[in-house]
Amino acid sequence: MNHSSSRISRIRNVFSATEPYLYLVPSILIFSIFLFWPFFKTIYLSFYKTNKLGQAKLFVGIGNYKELFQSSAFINSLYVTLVFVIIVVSISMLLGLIGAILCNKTFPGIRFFSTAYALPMAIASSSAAMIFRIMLHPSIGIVNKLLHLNINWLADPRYALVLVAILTGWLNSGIDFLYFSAGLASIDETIYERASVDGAGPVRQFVHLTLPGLSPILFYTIVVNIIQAFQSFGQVKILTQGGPGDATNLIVYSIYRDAFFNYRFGSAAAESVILFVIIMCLTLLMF
Amino acid sequence: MASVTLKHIEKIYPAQDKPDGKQNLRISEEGVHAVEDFNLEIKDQEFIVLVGPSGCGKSTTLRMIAGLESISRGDLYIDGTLMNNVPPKERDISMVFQNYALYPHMTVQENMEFPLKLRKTPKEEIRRRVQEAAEMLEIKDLLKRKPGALSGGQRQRVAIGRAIVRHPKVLLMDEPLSNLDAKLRNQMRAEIIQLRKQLKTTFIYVTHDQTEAMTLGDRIVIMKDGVIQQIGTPEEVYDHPTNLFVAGFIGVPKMNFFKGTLLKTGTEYKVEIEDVIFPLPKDACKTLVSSGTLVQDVIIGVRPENILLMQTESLTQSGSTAKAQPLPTQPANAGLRALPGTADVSELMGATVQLHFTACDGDRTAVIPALQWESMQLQPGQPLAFSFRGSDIHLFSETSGKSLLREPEKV
Repeated sequence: MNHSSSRISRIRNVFSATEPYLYLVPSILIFSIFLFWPFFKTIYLSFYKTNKLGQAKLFVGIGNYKELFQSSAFINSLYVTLVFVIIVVSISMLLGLIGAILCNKTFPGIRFFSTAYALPMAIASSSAAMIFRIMLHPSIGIVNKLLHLNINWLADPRYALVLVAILTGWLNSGIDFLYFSAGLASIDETIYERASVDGAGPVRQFVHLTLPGLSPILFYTIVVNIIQAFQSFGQVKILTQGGPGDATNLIVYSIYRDAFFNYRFGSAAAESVILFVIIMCLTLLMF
Repeated sequence: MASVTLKHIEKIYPAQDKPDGKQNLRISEEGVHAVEDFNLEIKDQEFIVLVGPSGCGKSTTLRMIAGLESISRGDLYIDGTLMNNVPPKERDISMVFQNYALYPHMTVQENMEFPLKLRKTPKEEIRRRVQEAAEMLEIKDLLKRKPGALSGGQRQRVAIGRAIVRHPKVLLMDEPLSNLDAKLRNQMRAEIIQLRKQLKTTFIYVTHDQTEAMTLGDRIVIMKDGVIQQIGTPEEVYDHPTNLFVAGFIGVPKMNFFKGTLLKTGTEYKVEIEDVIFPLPKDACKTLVSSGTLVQDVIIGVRPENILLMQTESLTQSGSTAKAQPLPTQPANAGLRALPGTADVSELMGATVQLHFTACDGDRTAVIPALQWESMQLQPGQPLAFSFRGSDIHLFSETSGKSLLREPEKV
């Protein structure tokens, strides 16, 4: 009797010690299968030359990385990505901020406008890209019709990157609109009244009150935007396939091309690792 | 330093924008009338208090003076200049807000400097004025801190400090003390009185607290549902309220109201409450005679501190006309007629006791000195008798609620 009761209590102890971990198992399992395993496998692959099935065949150490940094195509890809990120982040933040400021006052129909500004968040990048492609079509596109021009926008290296960046900026502006709206709502309304009694006009109010009031959220939004911009893929795939030339060959697209067109999985893995390091450094730097 | 004149000022909101919780405002085809026909002449360096329950239009009036709210009708003059369409920053006013409205990302010093910097005041002058204000409000040690690191009382000092550095013509204060706890509020109230002596500017102060109004104001404007009820010095509104609302609003605890009848014999007037007759003093009779007041149902108001409690012997036996004996500690009350009542709870406030009792179908309050209370110690449910002097009676028409003892307003 005594013996068995002590056994039960021991089992109970063991269970209460392991119980918290049991709850964590499902998510850890999912993360491991879809995130951690591919992540470590990628790092592993980046040190190998692979066959066409993506199996590691020949250990080359940092050979893949060396090749990448000597390849002008990859350096170009890094440069293009940098320009792209700068344009995207500026456009998306500006659109989001302007929209949020416009929608910060209540007036009839405010819900319609709020939804309109937040909508890009809900649109899949590929479907937006399809619509964009039709709009920019050299012969039937509305852009050329309206501007009375005859430009093959997406085939011209001068415009292609900027256009893809504008589309991406607009797509990302939805979430920025939400962040900024929340940020503006948290600024005390009366400080504006006080400022107008003090003698500050709208510009001064924006510079001295709104921007400092938004600064915590502004910072967070920049980080999220940069990360998001680095990872853009769908719109490039549909609009330009990295072209014309390598004008829109962003890193993620270049990884995709290396892996699934050229079957150079080792090199693609190395590029992925570099992208990961860049984003991680930026994130650490910002926080 | 300036005079402020409000002539027939009105604020009308579109009907769909009707602010919540303001059910009693007049609604016309134009919209909701938040402030109606507001007329007031504020003298230079006067301290005016706008007081009333929430939703009475006092803050709206203040915001119209500040220029934060447009004026629907009427004219606003500051120092003789029409200000209706002048933007807030050009009115040379300063405002203290209820929630302080300090810029959270600026230090106390920067907060105080901001309005001066906007006006391009020379640096030396800014420094001098900030120091001066900081000294006046004893916040010199806080200048480097940010508002988040200050207590409520300190924030309010800073808010006042930043309002006075500019030496405005008019200083507007919108319920500046209502976010503070009771003790701090009393302290800050005293400091505002001090400040007022040093500043020599015109103050317009909004509050819902009648104590603040009574202690701070040179004149008080009592408002209800967007309409001015009475304008007067604290003594005037306390001693001669124009109507039932003012009588009930000014004074803590609230004035007691009894239903009764006004009787007249020759030039003598009396009031009758539940078969007990109280003669009115001569000057009251004179006023009533001159206004030609007729016999009618009236509301009789008596302040709690004017209620005289009496010892009763056998109240239950002799019915409502009790034989009341004046208390030894009270002045000679002989000849006063008494009304019966039943004691409820009592609250010791320190030097005085507030006794709640039931009489004439209602809850009544009496304030009596604690010393006197010791000799009576009425328990809840115990019978009592009370009375009041004819000179302490406030008389209101039952139909209109207006005071019958005030001379008709000189127009």
